[in-house]
Amino acid sequence: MEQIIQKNILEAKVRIRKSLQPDLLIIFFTRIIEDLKNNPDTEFYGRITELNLLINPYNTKEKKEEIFKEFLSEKIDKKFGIKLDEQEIGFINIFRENLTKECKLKNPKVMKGRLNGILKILTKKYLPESSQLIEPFILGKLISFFGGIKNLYYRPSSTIQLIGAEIALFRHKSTESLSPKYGIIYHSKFIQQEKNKGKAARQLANNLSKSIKIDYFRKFYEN
Amino acid sequence: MRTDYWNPNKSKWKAAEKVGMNVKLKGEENILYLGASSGTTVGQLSNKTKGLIFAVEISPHMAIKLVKLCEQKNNIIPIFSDARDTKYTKKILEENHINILFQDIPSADQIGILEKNSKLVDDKCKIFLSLKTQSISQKSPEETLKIVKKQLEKNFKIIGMKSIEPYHQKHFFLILEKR
Repeated sequence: MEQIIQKNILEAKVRIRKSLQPDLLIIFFTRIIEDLKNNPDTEFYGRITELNLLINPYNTKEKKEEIFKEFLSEKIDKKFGIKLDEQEIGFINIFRENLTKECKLKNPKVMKGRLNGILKILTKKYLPESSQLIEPFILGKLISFFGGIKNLYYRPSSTIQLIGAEIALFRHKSTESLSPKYGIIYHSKFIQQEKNKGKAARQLANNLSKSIKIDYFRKFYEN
Repeated sequence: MRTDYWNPNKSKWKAAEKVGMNVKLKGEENILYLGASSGTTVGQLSNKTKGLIFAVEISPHMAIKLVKLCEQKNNIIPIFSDARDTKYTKKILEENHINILFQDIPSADQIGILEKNSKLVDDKCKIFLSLKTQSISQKSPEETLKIVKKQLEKNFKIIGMKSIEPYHQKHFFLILEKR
């Protein structure tokens, strides 16, 4: 009987590892940049427990200080954690070395630039087509909104255009106010340059929905 | 961290027991549990039965916590798959006889999932269903319950039904049997 339980636990662990995709790393770094934008003095205990679930899932620690100590000791579960190559381990090390004892970043202004650089490399690696159209931070925001590329690729372009403007959309549906024309993607360079912003948002969303499908089926589907 | 106290605000099974339904365990049942999440209820049930508990969960973050729990207790089997994928569940069940089937999945096709999984068990098995009406339609809970009842009566006999209102809003707990 114990053998059956042990066998099934092992099988579940292998299946869980397969479902942990590299887009979770993109989501992680986007959320840290978002935190820094809201408040440069944030404590990252919550984010580190999130990351520890990916790189070292089956630890037995539960208090936040203990998890932070384990994170500093550079432990990585290569058997059942998320798949990482050496470059990505280096990115995590950069984040680890710049933390103070109170779990804050040492100099937030410099680190914000470095984290943006990391995101640029990661998006170029996994989403080569769509990273040419839009900034890495906004692309990461789109992915983190849906919780992964797998949930993003089958959305229609109108959803991608309007995501982030739900309140205005439902106000338009219930009363007779004007409909919104752009959501999260408004802050991209492509739309800021144009005079007719509604038209530009529609064009950008059309191109994005195509390119994300190409990226998903080229890179993620092969694995 | 897990205390002995079983909180009815976090567990639909305990809430049903508090409302006065007959869901107590005798001590040697095998349970198939759909939608185990991080294992709050499963951990409590494993103390009360000597049989096996099969816990199905799809979200990886919750399943990691569930697997950690399985390593501590010695009668829970984790199944990391979609509850709609009954072929995979059947492969792991092998020839174990299931006494109780419990479902706690708040999605739009809750009844469809229950009908699929009820083919894995025999006629004597008790079926518990925690029904979230809000995720089926936006009408009032009583109206949706009428529609759901019609669907259920094709395949199941309804033995008991109550709302678990003070603990979980817009939820119903049903006890069923196969026809």
